[in-house]
Amino acid sequence: MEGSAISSLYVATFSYLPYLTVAVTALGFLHRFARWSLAPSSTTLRLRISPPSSSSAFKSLLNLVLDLLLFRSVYRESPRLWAVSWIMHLCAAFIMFSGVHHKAHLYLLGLMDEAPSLMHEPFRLPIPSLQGFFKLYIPPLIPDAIERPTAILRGAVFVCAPLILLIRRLRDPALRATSSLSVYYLLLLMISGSLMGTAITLDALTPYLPIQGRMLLASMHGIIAQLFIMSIPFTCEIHMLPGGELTRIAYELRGWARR
Amino acid sequence: MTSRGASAKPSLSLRKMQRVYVDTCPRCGLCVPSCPAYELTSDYRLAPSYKVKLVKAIEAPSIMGRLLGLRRAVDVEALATATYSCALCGRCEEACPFGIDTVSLWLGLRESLHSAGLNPEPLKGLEEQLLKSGNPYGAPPSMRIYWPELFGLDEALRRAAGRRADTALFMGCTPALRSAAQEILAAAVTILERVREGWTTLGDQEWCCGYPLLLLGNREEAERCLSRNVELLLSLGAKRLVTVCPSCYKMFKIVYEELKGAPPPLQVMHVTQLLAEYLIKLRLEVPRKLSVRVAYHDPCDLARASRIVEEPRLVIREVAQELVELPRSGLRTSCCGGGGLLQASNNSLRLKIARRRLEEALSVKADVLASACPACKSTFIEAAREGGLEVEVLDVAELVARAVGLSR
Repeated sequence: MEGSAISSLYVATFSYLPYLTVAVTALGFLHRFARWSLAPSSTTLRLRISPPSSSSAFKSLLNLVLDLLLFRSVYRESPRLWAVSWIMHLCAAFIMFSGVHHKAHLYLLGLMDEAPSLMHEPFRLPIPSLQGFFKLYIPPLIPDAIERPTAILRGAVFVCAPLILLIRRLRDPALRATSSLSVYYLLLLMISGSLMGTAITLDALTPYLPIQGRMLLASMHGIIAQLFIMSIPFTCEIHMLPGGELTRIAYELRGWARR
Repeated sequence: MTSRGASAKPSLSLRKMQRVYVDTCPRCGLCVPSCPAYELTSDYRLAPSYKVKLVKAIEAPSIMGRLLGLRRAVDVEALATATYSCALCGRCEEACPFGIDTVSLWLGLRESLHSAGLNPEPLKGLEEQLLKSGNPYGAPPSMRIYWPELFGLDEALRRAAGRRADTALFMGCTPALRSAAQEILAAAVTILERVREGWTTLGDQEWCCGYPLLLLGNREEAERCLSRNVELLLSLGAKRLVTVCPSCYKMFKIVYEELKGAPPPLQVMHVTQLLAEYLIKLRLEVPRKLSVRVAYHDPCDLARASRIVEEPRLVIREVAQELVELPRSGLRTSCCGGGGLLQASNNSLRLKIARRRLEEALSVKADVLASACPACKSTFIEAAREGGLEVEVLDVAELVARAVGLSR
């Protein structure tokens, strides 16, 4: 690929594609919510007694938050799967909300003046005075001082975890049969995206790629990441919206209302 | 609905929350090893997440599949087989880390398949019997009050039937009509008489509680049965209803509230709760504990669905020398195989599941396998007979009757 083509790809990936990503994702969620809300609303029978309501709303909320943060129910069923999936999600959070990603998110939201090396055209926040406020209150999950030295480790874990999940899925006949194409697509996106991300981080520590190579790698990484985001509303990645947890809240509320 | 047709799109008419469940299931597969049907057959087509995959293929074929031209024929027959080969034990719901209410999903599927006429033939016959005779066994109503004669309790039942009293005993179809379970009812009645409880019963006016109709997918008829029974019980002035069957308990206690949007107009109790109350309040005294080692099997409908796990244990500890826990117990109990109308749709699977549980009871060296459900007892007895396994199967009420010297 020629240098100018790589530069164009780079600009398109980080300056224009994000708008498409946001639009597709938003429309996808709208489609999903419409599908849900247009379903018949007659009573869904629940054939089990609601768990004894917690003594307080605070306790219920706390349990809910702990379940969501620690994946306690996964641990109960399979500690091995818990180890892989919890560490993977933890790594994902640390990767996505620290270092260059954190800066890129703030920049794309119009909350930063200085562009990270990847970015080009800034999005301007309609009310500039809010910029400083948001910058102050959206700190990275990991301070910059330890973000860089641990980046390779996090990247490696984030490559290995989806790989383990993929192998688990391929080895178990029942899991293989219940998996759809989109599940494999998502796992492959995660593995390839994180491999590229780790290579970029390595290059930042000890440069070994020419500038064009680095731009190409970053563009591919950006495309894969945005493809993943666009896929959320259309695939089982929608599990990010915890349907079960929302139901739990609904049943708790119904229980209180009936008392 | 069409089977094996990619062109004709079948409709499952899932409800709001069921669509959310199907869409948000990430197929993590944690429900798969917990499913007794899969565990004992290794047939992935019976696994919960495979059913979700099939439902999703019918409800919303994947966009990616459509883009790549990979639309596959939807096997509705496979979905019907999997749906009716499920014991509805709810173990998958317990295992699901996303809190998906799988049991309501499977029930919704049964309703859709039923309204499309895709339920298996044996179940259609069962439904016909139920609607004609008011019980799943096709027995005439008079047979419901035949059992007391076998135990010398006809006088007690004659006195109780139709009179006004605070406590009503709901006999249930299996305890009243199946020989393997009639002893449970006899034990319950004997105890009620011993404590001089003023009790009443609907006698031959009693209908099925409606639970089997609900499992068949006929919600309207289930609701009709339930409402009729409740109306009759209220007309007898009953303030509390005692059931010996956990499914009847679930129907009156949980499903009534779900269907009517209000709690049942009378207090609903399972017989183990009543027995615990009698023992705690010393209305029933145990002269000497039975010298047996009892393994208690938690019925799914009593433990997981109704969260009654302590009372049966309290009762067993009061009447037996030793209580041992089975490998899977309490809220994480394992199925006996007798639920979900498996007897009619897949009897060999039912007996396989029961046999595994019996082997677990033998592995803990139990003299008696106790349960608190007539369906569990009947299933265990049948599986023990088929498999030549030597385990005595009793209901908690029978244990109490033995301990207080009311039966041998």
